Amino acid sequence: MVRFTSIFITLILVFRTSAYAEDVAAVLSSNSSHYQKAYEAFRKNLKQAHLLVNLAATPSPKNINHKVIVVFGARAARLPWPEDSSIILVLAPGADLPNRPTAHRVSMLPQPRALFKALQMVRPDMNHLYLPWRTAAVGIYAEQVARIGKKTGFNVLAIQVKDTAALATSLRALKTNNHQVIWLPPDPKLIERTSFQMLKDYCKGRKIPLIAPTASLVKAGADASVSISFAESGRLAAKSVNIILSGGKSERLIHSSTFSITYNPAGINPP
Amino acid sequence: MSVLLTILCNALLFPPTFSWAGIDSEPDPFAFFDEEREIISASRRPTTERLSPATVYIVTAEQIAASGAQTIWDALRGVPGVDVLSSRAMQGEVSIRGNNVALQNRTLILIDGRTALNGLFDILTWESLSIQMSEIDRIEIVAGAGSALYGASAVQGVINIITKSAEALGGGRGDYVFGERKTHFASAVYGKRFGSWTYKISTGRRSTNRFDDSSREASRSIKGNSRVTYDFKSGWTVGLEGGFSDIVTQSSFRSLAPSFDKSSNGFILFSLEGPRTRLRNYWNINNGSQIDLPTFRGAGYSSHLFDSSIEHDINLPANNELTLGLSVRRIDTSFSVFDRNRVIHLLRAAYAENVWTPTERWRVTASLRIDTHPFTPTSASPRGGVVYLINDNNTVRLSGGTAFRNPTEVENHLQANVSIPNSGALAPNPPFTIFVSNIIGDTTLKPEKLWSYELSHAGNYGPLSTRVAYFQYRLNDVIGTVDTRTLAAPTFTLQRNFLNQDHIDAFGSEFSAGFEIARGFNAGFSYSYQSLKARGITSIKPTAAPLHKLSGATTFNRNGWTLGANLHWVDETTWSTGSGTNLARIPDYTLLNLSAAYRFQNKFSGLEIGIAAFNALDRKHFETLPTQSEAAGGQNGEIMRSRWIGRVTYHF
Repeated sequence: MVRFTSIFITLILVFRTSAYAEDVAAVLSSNSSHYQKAYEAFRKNLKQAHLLVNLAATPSPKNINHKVIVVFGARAARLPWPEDSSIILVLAPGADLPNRPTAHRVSMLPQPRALFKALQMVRPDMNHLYLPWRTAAVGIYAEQVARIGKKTGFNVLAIQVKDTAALATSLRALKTNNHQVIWLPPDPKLIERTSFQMLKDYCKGRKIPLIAPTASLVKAGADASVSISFAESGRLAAKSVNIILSGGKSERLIHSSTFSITYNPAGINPP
Repeated sequence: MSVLLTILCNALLFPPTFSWAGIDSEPDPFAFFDEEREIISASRRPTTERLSPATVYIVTAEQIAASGAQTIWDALRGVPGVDVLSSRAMQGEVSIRGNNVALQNRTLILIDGRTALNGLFDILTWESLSIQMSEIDRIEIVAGAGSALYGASAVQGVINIITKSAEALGGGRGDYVFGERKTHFASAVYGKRFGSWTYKISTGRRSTNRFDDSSREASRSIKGNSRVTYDFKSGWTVGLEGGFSDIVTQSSFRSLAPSFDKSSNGFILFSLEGPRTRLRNYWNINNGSQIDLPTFRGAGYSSHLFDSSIEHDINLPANNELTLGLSVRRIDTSFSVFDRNRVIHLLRAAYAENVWTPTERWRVTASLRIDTHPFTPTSASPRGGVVYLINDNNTVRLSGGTAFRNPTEVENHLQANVSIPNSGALAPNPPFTIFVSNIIGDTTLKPEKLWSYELSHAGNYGPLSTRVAYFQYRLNDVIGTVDTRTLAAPTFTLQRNFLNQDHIDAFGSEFSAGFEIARGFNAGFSYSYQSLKARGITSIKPTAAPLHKLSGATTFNRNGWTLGANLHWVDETTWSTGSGTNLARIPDYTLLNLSAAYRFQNKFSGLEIGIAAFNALDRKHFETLPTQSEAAGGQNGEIMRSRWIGRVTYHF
């Protein structure tokens, strides 16, 4: 009897799990730890079985036509997913949001008002913000920040820089003052070793706090970071999947209401 | 069995996970952005001063404005290791770490990466540049062997003049400069972005008279430049640019004579730049003549330089960034004093540069370029550099490489045979009533080859920044001239042949420091030392390079005021007179340049007025050897006097 019951329960669970596996697929761009952290949080908060594909092992996955496909990173985001699947982009600032109503993005950018609040926690007398950007998606956000900054008394200089040389030109033209902060948005075109070094040297020489979009960049020399953690991005993705599976409507652009600040003890104005 | 079922149940109950063992718990802070960027683009690979594989000094537009420099070469006087000399009132020569001379052709001068050198002589008459001073964003000076990236002529280094983009201009400005020696410079620059389009246009007219005789013209020019670009959504940018200049400018033709470069110059450039690939094609045109130069009999020349290059970036594993490039250049010249009516040189090159960043603190750069030339063996130019970031404040760089200079078309093909009545200016009269000059090129000349090594340190200590560099190089197979004089009255015959001579050994060091005294108030200081020794060189004296050079500068920029003072002291030099082994000395000199400008706020917003002085103390001096005697021409340098100017600028 016990054996029969066990087999019966197992069969039920197998079919139940299979049903969910057809609903949700998570696709990771690589083995990188930032996708891992986000995925772990996603898995814990989804609380459902799902198919997991890692492009490091399966570069060209087939037969993924699930109801919701959660893609971690731009490489996964750019694969040709089925038209009728809902796509949720997580940690993919390098990919455009697909132009269809079933595509959603978990933003790595804090809400503009939350950004000002966070930056003021780093530098309480901050009223000037320099926000360089390169990719178009970040440009739209930068314009929002500038608009809201104007309403709330912050002078925001959001400038598109085409390359590192243009960033240098832009920095030279920057009129510095004591109430200034430079915040780097999570813009993969902008953030690379050379431009980061340039910004670091510039800020150090002028005692302007350089605020990065990830905590790991604080270790690389930024004065602080204001960021949405990778785990929070995964959690928001799971929340969005749950809403979609339950028949609800998820936001197209999902912003976190929380942010984390990491200080550099050796930086400018540590708390 | 129950155990097996339990395992199976557990496996099905919980979603699958990967084993993350082996993944670094402290990942590279850039790894995430690197991975994301790989998908959309790897942008061009410009670098910072601190990370560059060679010593790079940058002169910014703000520094040029604060210095009050009236010419581009004047703006470079304070750069450590850069030798600047004004040969005539509106012609200067710039070399890096020695070997400077009138008609210098061992430093490659670029405008936005396009060669500015005349295809015939590989020299530059600065007024022939089609850009305006107010259009310059920055000047990058790369010291030492540069052929690994830039090919021929980058022997002493590279000077890249980078103009402002349309976005950086963000509007326009008009300048009118007037002053002593009938100086009138007028220019207008405008640039803007409209959606995916950008455009920039500039034009200007410049004229001024000589220092030694202010009633006589030194230079007049008219010029213009324009650029249009379009950005595609795919990340590609297409650009079309063109410019022209029409000039009459006096320059020194070494021992031959001071001569007016009367020329019309122009260029057309087409570029296509993608996330990883860059294609550039341009056509430089120089049509002109050296009037007043008996050797060329006023002969007109026409030079067309076509250059096509393509570069591609590849990201390799283990933080390696590789750039591959191919280049083809065709120089098509007609000059009636050549050994043939038309000369065509086809130059091909392939190059590669890899930047390896094994850790955050190390950066290793290796480059190699292979160049071909119709009359010389294939040249291979390697270069390597290691940069170590000791900490945020200190950087050390060790680099070495080779560079070469091909013989110019003039050195290969000149057949200038002139017989003119001698008025006494060229040789003593009596007894010589006829002067015969034969200057003969040689297609068997080898390229000059340079080996150089360098060790440098950059420090950044709050408001103080310092740079120290030590260099050493050997320049082999120096192309010079040997004169043979035949005195058979009434004919004085000068036979001048080009030939490869022996070598020049050099070493030296540079030190510079910048200090921010207060916000907007900066001071800088630089000292350069260079020692050159030659073996078997007759025509160019290494002692023409000053042993010591000191420069100091202060700038003040606040509340609309921009004030600047630049003081330079240059050690004495010794020159070949162009007459056998005779030498002549130029004493050391001091040069003070001043500037003051005020930009109005509120009611007259956009208006700026200023004054500036070159050689404010009017210290009369020569920077290159003046005419020596009837038989020994010297370098035909002009005495330097002061030139005060006023400036009115309107920004719109």
